[in-house]
Amino acid sequence: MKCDKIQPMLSAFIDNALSARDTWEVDRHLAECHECQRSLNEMKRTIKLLHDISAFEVSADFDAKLQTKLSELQPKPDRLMWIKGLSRMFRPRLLPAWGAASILGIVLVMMVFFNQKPIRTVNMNTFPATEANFVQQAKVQNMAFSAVNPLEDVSIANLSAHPSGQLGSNANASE
Amino acid sequence: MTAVSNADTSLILRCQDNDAAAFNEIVARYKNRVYNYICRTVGPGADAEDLTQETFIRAYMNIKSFQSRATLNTWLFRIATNICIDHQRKVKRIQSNIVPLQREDADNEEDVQMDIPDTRYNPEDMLLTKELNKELSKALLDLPEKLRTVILLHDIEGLAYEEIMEIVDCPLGTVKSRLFNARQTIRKKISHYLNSSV
Repeated sequence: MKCDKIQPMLSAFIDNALSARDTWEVDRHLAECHECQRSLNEMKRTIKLLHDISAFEVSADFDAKLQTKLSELQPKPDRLMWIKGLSRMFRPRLLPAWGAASILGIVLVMMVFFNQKPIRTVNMNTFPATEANFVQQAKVQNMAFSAVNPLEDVSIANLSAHPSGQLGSNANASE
Repeated sequence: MTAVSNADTSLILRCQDNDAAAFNEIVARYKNRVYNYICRTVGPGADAEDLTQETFIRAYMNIKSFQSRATLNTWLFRIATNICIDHQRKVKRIQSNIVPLQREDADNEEDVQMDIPDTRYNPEDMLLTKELNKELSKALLDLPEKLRTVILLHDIEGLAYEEIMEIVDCPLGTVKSRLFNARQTIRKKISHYLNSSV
């Protein structure tokens, strides 16, 4: 392997976080590359310095201040389990999966939708008792009915609401 | 590690049973670590202490929702990380002509570090160590937030990769590459110290 492949692995190499094969590759490369050896040593020293950096400590009155604030508060009750479940389901790491699933779902819905259209056309041709035919029939009934009862408001919509053809039979009865 | 986790688990169970003493023990155990982490993230000072208090208040308020799949360590650092991110956003929003943080904080930090006696070195070394500490602190504050969080948690707080994955909610590869980039950036910034063999 070349230096540009080895260098990014040095950090994980120091932490023993490489696979056995990568560790072997880095070891082998380091044995013959002084530049990478120097980088490794510098990185090790940087980590040591970071580890030894002086730590900050809270002030003496930290506890007293915190106690004053806490004394006015009560822990919140446990959230409902389903909220926990939902928040875990939609955590950022899973969002790409949810995105892919949504796209797949939309594609499936569209496929089903477009597949249904030709079936509907066939149905209309096969079975004449559809909306268009019924409206046509209702128009005829309306004309007949309004001729008998001119004062009654019998619109096509009202006739359409009685697909059983009761109005038609009424019209026949009054005739 | 397991002993610490077990002790933490029993403390949390006691807290969930409204035992105030158990929460005080958690504070005593973690306050300096959380404070140190926050100081390294936002810079030392009054803000850092307030944010540390906010971390423990948020932990106290939500202790009943704590799930045992996370460790107390991870949970507290996650809360602290979120609080620091919120704080930095707020600061950026409020102060449009902000003075660079590292310049202001480096002065405060100098004061804090003056209080810590270090007898391991002779005066020349002490001066160099102090300078180096200052340089390191500045380099850490200069890092982008994502890189800084990972290097602070791993190299200063000593958290494992898996714990950092949970805190920053990233896969292992991302944590490793962020850590490499952060270490590389710091290494370049203090390369003159490294070459002069402190």
